Amino acid sequence: MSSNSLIQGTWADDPAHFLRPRGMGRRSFLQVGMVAGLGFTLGDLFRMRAMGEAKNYESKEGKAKSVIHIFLPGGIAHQESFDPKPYAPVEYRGPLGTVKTKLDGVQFSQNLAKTAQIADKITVCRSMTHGEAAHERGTHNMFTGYRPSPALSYPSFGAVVSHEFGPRKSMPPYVCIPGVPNEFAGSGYLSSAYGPFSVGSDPADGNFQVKDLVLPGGMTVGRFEKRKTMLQKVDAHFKSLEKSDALDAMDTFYQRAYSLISSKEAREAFDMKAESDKTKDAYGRNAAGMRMLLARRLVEAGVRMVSLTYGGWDHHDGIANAINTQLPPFDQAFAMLIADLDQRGLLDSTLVMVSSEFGRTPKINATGGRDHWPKVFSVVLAGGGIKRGSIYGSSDATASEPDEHPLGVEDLATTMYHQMGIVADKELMAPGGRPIEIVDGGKVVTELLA
Amino acid sequence: MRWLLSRHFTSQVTGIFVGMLVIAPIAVPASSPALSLVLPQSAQRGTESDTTFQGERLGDAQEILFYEPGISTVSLNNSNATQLKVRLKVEPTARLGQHVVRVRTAGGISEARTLTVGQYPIVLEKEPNNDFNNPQKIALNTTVQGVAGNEDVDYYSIEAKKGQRITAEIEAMRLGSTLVDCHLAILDLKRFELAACDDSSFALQDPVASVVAPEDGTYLIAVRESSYAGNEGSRYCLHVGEAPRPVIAYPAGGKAGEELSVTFLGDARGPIVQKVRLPEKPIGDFNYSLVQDNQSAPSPNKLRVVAYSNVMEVEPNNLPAQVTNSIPAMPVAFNGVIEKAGDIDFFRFKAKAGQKFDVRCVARAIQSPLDAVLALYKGDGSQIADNDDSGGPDSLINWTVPADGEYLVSVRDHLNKGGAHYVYRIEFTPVTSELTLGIPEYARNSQERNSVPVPRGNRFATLLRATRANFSGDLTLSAPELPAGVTLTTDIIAGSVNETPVVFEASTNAVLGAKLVPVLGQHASNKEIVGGFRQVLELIYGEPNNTIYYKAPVDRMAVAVTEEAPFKITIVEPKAPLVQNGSMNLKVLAERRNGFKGNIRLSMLWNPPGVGSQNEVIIPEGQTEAYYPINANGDAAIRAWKIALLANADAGKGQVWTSSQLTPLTVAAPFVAMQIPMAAGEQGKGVGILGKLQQLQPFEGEAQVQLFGLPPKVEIAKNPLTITKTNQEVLFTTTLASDAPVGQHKTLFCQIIVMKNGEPVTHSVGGGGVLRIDAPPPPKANAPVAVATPAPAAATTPKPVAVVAAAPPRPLSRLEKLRLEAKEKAAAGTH
Repeated sequence: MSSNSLIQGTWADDPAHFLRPRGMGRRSFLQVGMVAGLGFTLGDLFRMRAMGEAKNYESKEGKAKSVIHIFLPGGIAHQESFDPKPYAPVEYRGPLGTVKTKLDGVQFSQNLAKTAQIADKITVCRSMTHGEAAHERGTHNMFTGYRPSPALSYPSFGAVVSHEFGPRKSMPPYVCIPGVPNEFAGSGYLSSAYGPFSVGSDPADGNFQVKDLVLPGGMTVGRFEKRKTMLQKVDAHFKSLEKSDALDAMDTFYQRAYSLISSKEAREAFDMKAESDKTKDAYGRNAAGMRMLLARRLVEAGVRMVSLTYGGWDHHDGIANAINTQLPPFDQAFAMLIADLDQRGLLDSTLVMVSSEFGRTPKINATGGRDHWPKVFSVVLAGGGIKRGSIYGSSDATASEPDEHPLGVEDLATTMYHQMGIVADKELMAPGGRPIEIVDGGKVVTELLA
Repeated sequence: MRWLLSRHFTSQVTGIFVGMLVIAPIAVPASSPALSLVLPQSAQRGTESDTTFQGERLGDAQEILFYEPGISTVSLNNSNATQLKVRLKVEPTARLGQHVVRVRTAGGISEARTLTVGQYPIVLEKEPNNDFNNPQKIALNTTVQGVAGNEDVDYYSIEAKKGQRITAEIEAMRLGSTLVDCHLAILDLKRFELAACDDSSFALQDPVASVVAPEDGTYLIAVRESSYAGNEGSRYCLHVGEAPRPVIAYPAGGKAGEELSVTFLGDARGPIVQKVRLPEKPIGDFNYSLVQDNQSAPSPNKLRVVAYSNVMEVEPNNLPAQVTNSIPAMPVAFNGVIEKAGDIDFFRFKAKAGQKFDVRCVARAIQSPLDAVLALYKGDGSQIADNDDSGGPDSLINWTVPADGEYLVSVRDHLNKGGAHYVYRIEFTPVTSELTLGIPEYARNSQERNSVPVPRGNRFATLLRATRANFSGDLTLSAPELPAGVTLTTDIIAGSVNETPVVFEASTNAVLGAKLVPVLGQHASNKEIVGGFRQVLELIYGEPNNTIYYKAPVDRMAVAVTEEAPFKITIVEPKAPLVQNGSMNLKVLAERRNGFKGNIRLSMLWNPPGVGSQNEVIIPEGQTEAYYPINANGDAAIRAWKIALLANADAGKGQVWTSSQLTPLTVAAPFVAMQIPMAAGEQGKGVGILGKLQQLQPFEGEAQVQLFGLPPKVEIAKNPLTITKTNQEVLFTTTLASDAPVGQHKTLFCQIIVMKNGEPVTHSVGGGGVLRIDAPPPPKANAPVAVATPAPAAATTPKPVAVVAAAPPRPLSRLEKLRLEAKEKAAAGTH
């Protein structure tokens, strides 16, 4: 599905990036060339040719109609979460114990007791690997499927989904809870029309309200409509003077905003008060619980990609206490989210992905923490056509390196896109008319799929 | 800042014991206090003044510890746990500048903070003073204690006569409490800046300015945070007076004991030449406060004191050919000034083959703006070595003279800048063995546990780290001047490591008190290599990445006897060794006192090389023992080590720390090793898992062998099995369920427990063992029904194997099984 209101151009066509110069630009001089008679500039011609040669696949909704991406910033230790090593030497295994899960012979760290009970509904990938040990670089990997490049700003998963499918049921296609978590969660080289809708406040707050969903104080619907009409007249005037995708892009923002404000469904989706106390208690009345509950509401209402963050997992010091504090709320909320989605029949159409920028060092350091370790760590996938009750890949005896089935960032991203119905080999147009694959060189990991 | 102390002073106790003032019984055992700030941060020498020590748990304060002579406590009012009121007496002879202080309470020792000693009376800043036309009036020769707040400019006015020197110096970063970058200006009433300074090579972020008053009249001193971004913590001391303020000395150092004629440069009235008597010992850095007309420079200039003489530059010396005077013998220190942009100075000297020097260009270290680049050449001008920043921004070359002969050394600025203050020294220091001892940082960017509070009748352990330069080998340790009743137990610092735990123990009747004590290290065989204690107190951190902006080194360890702790721990000394690739549980006993029931946290102070231990073990509430897991890897150094456990608990008033005794731990070679060849079998069948033993040292009696890491749905007949010193193999018999998980399971390993002196010696062996579970092959359509492959011995229906050694037939390896299968298939005519 593609919305007509969306601009189809490139980063450069987006007025948020820059406006075209008035009059004859350098590039427009090319028009004097031999193709002038056809009404194209040479630039247009080259761009069209590039588009013609670009790998293009139509995106059709796949098994996963929506994705909830739960990102744990800072790099959660795989040893203290989904990949404990109870038999490793003490300085490797760390201070925490393990719990048995619903899967035979599979153990999680002791703070994931509730998740252990829904282990039969999820797939844990214990062989995730990449080579970026700096927070921002690891985060880039896990939000875009690409290693960072100084030459190009890549779109995040959400922006690509937004680009490929557009909005559904007047909901923004890509929402970040509680806010845009980092610079790589944006639209990259795509138009910022595909950027995330930021909730802008934490649903765990008692007086949680989404700013852009209500008219500013003192503004009535009538006055608002009047202003809208005025703006349309001004826009129409400019459109009559100049034909530009830029104006369309601006229009997209307005259209999106109008449809949100005027949509009862959208307002309801963000209204946490509509959830019963019982449900809130079940998720946990804390950041993890409320963010995941809101994510479920948004997915129900038609949001395609919800990206939420919880906690700070950069545990260089005293990892045991930090994990003991932060992980139980996640455990409760995540287990409830999966169970809730399943019970509502939404799990098969909603892919839930838990990731982090990297894992943590095999050995406990001198200050009782672990440092950055991208060589192997764990991600969790559930729903949306992912296998239920499975462990994919493994790390070695000290959780230092992947042992079986190393899972790269590209393959993870490609598999996620595949489940959504997006062929990740498709090329999108980057600035300069450069076609760039959504994911470069990834393959669908069929062993992950049900 | 260097704390210059002779041996005579280091042994002197400078604190005043006022413990008799505190007689109130303390209900809960106290822990070390926290000291966050001393206010005001300055005191005038030759006077008494009231100071507030701010912090926590100061209610049982008994003493202020001073690292240097000249300051003492007149009285101490500890009625408030967060505000300790102290009346200080500063002797007229006290050294100007920062002095390190700690508070000792009945429960412990605080972190170190600094207090600055000045020569002027102290006034406090009075806001509002932000208006140029309405400044705070102060007398010349005053120290102002002020705050450069957010968007705050503090104006002070003084009256001066024509020709009078006005020197203004800020101590802000040098107060050592918070990151504050001040800007300073001296203005006339027409708002013209006579002098202004933001940063200086003299005092880095702290500005200094000095002018000679052009007319009789009023002058203003303006102080602000350089980007107007201060806060209520941005405190400064502004010294305004007639003091001289040279910014650099030339030559900036000389030979120990000599009377050196030094030209002090940069003062508003021009160069000041003075004779300086240098200390008798080559102590390196030396702070010298210039005095002129009974006024001392507000803070000292930095000089160097070395064991060899100066050689002064003679211009022209910009080319090797211009330098004809050759210094006949090294070492010397070359002195000069890079006087103008593009200047380069050469020196010629003779050296002997095999002489080893640290060739250091000292510039930033003596407050010079020069960013030196040093180069060494042969006598003919061909370059041998060069360096820019190894002495951090100064240059350093470790040089061994290749042959007898003539050489050249040159220095220039990295950006080819120059100027009258671009003073340098090139010191050729003969390489000697150097040893320094210190307490390593316990917690990141913190002073936690950097002193030694020993509870009466209990123990306190710390690590001592040795920094060895130009030698190696074992070191012995001692602390000869400990407080009465305190003893030190140490091991040597083995040549292969640079740290060892040391344990201090206080007798039950030791008197509460503290001393700042030297700690000595000595080479175990070469008695000439000795070293002392040096602790660098990191006082100000800032961006990026917690860079240290201000630090203060001290040369003694603070040791106190504190009141009783509510618990005491003891390690039950292990009678058996910890073997390579083995593990051990250290038994720890806790003696709880005075009804203390809470959790006691145990942590290992130090792991010998190759030994790992759990980060923390808790003796739960009410309990009196715990096991502390440790293990050794395959490369752990075989040796008898000494270890100690730390124990801490919150006994109601902060953390109380004690330690175990220093406990021997022997790391030994294993008794037995083992390999698990790959085992494989089909779902629904039996599989034997073979362990091939390698007997390394004979052991008494039987040992237990237990297999771990089997995948689910695999049943094992008997586990553990037993072996003796003669067994070469062990066989575990397992049955795979029909739905056992197919694939390679690489998690198998065994634990072998050998008994020694009645204690278990645990070996982890056979790691990486693989059990492969196969799905049964699909039945072949034309397969002969009756012909079943005779199963090899290990794959038959499992029978529990009690003692394997007695059980022929020998189990087959995977390879042998495959060969057998192939042979049988060939015999049966299948393929």
